[in-house]
Amino acid sequence: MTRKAPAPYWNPTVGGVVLGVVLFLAYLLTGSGLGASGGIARGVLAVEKAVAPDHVDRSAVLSAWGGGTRDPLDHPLVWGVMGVALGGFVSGRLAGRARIETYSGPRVGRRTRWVLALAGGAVMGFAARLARGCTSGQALSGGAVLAVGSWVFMLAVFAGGYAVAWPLRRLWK
Amino acid sequence: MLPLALAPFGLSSPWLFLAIGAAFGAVLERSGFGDSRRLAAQFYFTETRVLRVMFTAIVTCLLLLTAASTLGVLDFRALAIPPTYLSSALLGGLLLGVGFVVGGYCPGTSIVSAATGKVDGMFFLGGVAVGVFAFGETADGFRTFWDRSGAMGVVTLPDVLRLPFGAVVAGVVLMALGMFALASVLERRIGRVPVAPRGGRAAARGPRALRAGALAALLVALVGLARPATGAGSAAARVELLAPTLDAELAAGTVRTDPLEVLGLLHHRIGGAPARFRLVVLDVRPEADFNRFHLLDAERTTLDALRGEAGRALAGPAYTTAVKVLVSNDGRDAVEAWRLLRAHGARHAYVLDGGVNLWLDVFRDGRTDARATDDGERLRHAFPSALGARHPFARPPLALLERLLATKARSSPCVVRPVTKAAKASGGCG
Repeated sequence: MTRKAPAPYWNPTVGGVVLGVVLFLAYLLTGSGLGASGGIARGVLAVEKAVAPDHVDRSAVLSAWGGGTRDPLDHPLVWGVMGVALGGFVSGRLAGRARIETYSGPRVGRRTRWVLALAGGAVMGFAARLARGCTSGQALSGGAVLAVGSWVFMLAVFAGGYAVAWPLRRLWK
Repeated sequence: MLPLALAPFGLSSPWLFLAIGAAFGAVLERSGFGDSRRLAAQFYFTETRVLRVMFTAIVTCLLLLTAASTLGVLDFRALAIPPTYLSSALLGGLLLGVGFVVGGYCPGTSIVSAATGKVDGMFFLGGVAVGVFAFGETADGFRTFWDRSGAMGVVTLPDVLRLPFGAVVAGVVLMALGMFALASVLERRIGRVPVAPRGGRAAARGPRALRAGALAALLVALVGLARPATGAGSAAARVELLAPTLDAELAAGTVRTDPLEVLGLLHHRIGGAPARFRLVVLDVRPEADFNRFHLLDAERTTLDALRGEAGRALAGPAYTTAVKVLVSNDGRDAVEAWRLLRAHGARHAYVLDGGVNLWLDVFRDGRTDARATDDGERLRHAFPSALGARHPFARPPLALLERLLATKARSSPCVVRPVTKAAKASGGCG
């Protein structure tokens, strides 16, 4: 089977401007920005609530989103996250990029990459909840409305990344 | 300033959230954010896509918001600005940066990656689920730190830097451009990215001068003109800035409610039908008048208090879905109080038309055709003693309301809108 080369990625400036317009429209129409980790966290909580509702009720942190009659999934971000998956899939499909494969650095095997992705994801999931948002909700959305915490967060993300990038360079170079 | 209704429009249709999410996902995919190698390249300066896309987006969105705000069509303060928790933002940010380099994605980009079939993206997404679960299970142990340490509430850079809004926006634009230039240099020096071929120097000079000129014009315009229509400043200043919008709302007749309708609220009825909602009656009259007579469960407050913390609290999350009715002797001060609440961003705020004077005219004296009059905020009615809410007409019986409604002795339009579930989403990922 022959496969066409995938469509090239957008120029970063074009991508940035379009992303900025999407973010602006989100603020203009709904009053809120974009987000991702919140939607994932609510999905996890919904499972947790289905398995152990009493446990969710007893935790102050968990019950804030899902205690009692509260439905963790009753939140715009849950829809937003489904939209992200949908939009990402359609765009990747149209660009010829939607296929099963693994992206990894040149010196990292597939299995290692999977373990690292899982570990990095776990660190990030914890960190995103701690910071009340991830790169989308906190850095991008909060940064565009000049929230102080979001700018502190953004600088910390780059600081944390660059601090470990050199020791871990074998992962990606 | 244009007397337009203010954005944000507060739309909350699942389809809209889905559509916005889809646009977000598509842009991430097209920008190359579904590929962990392209994302991680940021940290080795072989490609600075992450920085460029992110800051271009922030600048674009910020400039659009600033333009809308300066034109007076958008209330900057009504946006869901994430509250600041310095310590957890700093610690979470550092950890998140580490996770970025180890895992190669962030939560949003991993969704795109997994959706396009990348197995590392799927593992990462699974990891995020594990991480948020771990946080949920342990966070009760350090909740005090999480909720309190460095908690500053909703603060923006212009607030803490004590600079005009436009100057901060100009600063952000300059900083982004500086970072892009620095990123280009580092791409060449550290990432060893070959220099893209460029046109001759002479050819570049014209556009470059033009670009510099345009940038200078933009910066001057930002510093000189830009202001958030209602972004910073005291409540009183915001009332002034919002005046055209507030006047339009008052003129549209969606603010002043007839005593009959407020009596319905006291009996937990909206538009004649029983409804479940929280009612907050705020009385802004002097203490002496309040002690003589007030509506049942009314809380006494003052215009000064509403200008400050009390007003901000009433616009806060604890009162988002509460129906707030403002009461004065003849309604004039209550309108002032209403303007303050609206300036703080509160919704579902109403004014008891004609105040306590009209209330007693209608219910106690049975003058069903009475209208609001300006009495200079003087309590027109006399009381033998200070009964407060023990006065029988602090909440006339439901039977009286039903009789007045049935006989159509007093017609009153329905102004109070039923309260729906919290329409406003919390900011971003929260």
